[in-house]
Amino acid sequence: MTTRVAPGPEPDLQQPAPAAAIWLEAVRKTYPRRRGAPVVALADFTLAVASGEVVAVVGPSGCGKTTLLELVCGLSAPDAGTVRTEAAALMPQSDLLLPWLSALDNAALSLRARPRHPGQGPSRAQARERARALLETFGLADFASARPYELSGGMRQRVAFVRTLLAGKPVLCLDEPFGALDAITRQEMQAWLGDALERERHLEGARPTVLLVTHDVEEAVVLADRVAVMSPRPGHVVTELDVDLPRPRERTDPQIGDLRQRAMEALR
Amino acid sequence: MGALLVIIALVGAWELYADFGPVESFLLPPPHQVGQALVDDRSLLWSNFTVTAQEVALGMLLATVAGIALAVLIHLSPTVRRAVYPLLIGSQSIPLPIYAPLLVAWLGYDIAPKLAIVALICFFPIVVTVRDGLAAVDPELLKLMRTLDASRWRTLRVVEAPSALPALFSGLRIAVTVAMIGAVFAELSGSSDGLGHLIQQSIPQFETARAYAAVAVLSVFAVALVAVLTVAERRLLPWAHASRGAAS
Repeated sequence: MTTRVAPGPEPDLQQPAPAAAIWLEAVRKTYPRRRGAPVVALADFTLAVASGEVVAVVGPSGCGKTTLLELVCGLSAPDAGTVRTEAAALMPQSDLLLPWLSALDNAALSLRARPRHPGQGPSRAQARERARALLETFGLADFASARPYELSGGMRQRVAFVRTLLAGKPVLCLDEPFGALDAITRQEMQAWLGDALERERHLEGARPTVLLVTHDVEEAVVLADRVAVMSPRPGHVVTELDVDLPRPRERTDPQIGDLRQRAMEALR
Repeated sequence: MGALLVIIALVGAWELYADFGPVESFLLPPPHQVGQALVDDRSLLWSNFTVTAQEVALGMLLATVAGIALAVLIHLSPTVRRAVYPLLIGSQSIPLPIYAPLLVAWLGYDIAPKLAIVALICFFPIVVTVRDGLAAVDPELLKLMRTLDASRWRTLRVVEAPSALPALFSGLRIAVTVAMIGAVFAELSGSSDGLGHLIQQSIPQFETARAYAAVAVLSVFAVALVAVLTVAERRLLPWAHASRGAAS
């Protein structure tokens, strides 16, 4: 668990830590501009995600969703407020696969990126073995040696997801994972991700905590246990909706439609 | 194919002008005399070519090693960049004809000053292109590497260095052409062999056709080196071309 707070008065660390994998309290984050007042990306942003929970954050474009993920992944520190998270792996908006590596080596990048000390961490062969096993699980065994440019957009996202899983972090941050895909592929990939997350949750050991950022309300409702709706900039959570429906979920389910409607109204 | 047609047209025009125009053939020999010189002086041209080719190849090798090293240092350290970049650009504005004779006087008549001059002139395009290639990596990719707990060195090794390779090839292609100029100037400034030396010897002897033949050999060598680099790049970095095609 890492805690990042704004520089200034020491936070009261005597307080018992909340039992959450992700804990943001009254977070404020601004970006300086060359001219004029700084942009306030997040203001008074509060969100708690329990360990093993899948929470979707939806909001209009520019509401600070990416800022939120950077805070959770430890890429930046808040100006005010508290951010406490378990270690998080990021699945970026564009797949960011390295074009000179095969799908297998791209997936294994998570294991190879860490500084290797003698006798510590997996060797290249071990990393590949683990990546190959996971690619197989996700139906990509035949494409292990393909370069990214030989794969479809959906397959690239799946490789990126495997890379994210192999980072072995308790928190998965998914940044608009299917934003760049066409509508049909996006629906397929949403169903696929739902299955993949279900599978991860039934594995032994700790279930991953998932923070899914999206502007697709339906995607949020289909995939998440809870949907947090964000306001336009400066972003904060205006409402949270529990999605207490069994999986796998059908987007034609009237209850899904109902929740979708409520989220859309909260967005207005 | 297009290049061939242009060459044929230009050589044809040159032949007509040199044969029927108002210019003496010792000033502008017609292409057929140059062709004749290429055949007659082939052993002379070849032995001088091997000297120049060696200077170009070794000088470029030196420039590549030193250029990559400095580009990485500049990339890793803003302090080095601020300290070295102005000096680097300033050094490029010193005309080659000024320092070439000085280097020859200093380093002697053997291959050392030639290598130094070729390396100096090739160094700049390699440093600049490689450094730009290293800096052009998608910042999102660098963020991703941070979330994967990658060290600075691992990020350089795994992400930045491979993505700078196409830029290195661009730099090498620019370096090839200036390397020829550097090698010839170095030889003009003091040498006993090489194509530049041959050109310098031929003109006062009214062997202008031989001088032109030497220039033709230099040009073909430059084109051949660029072609070799292009083929090597396609072989070694197929992703750089394929992804460009797929992305558009």
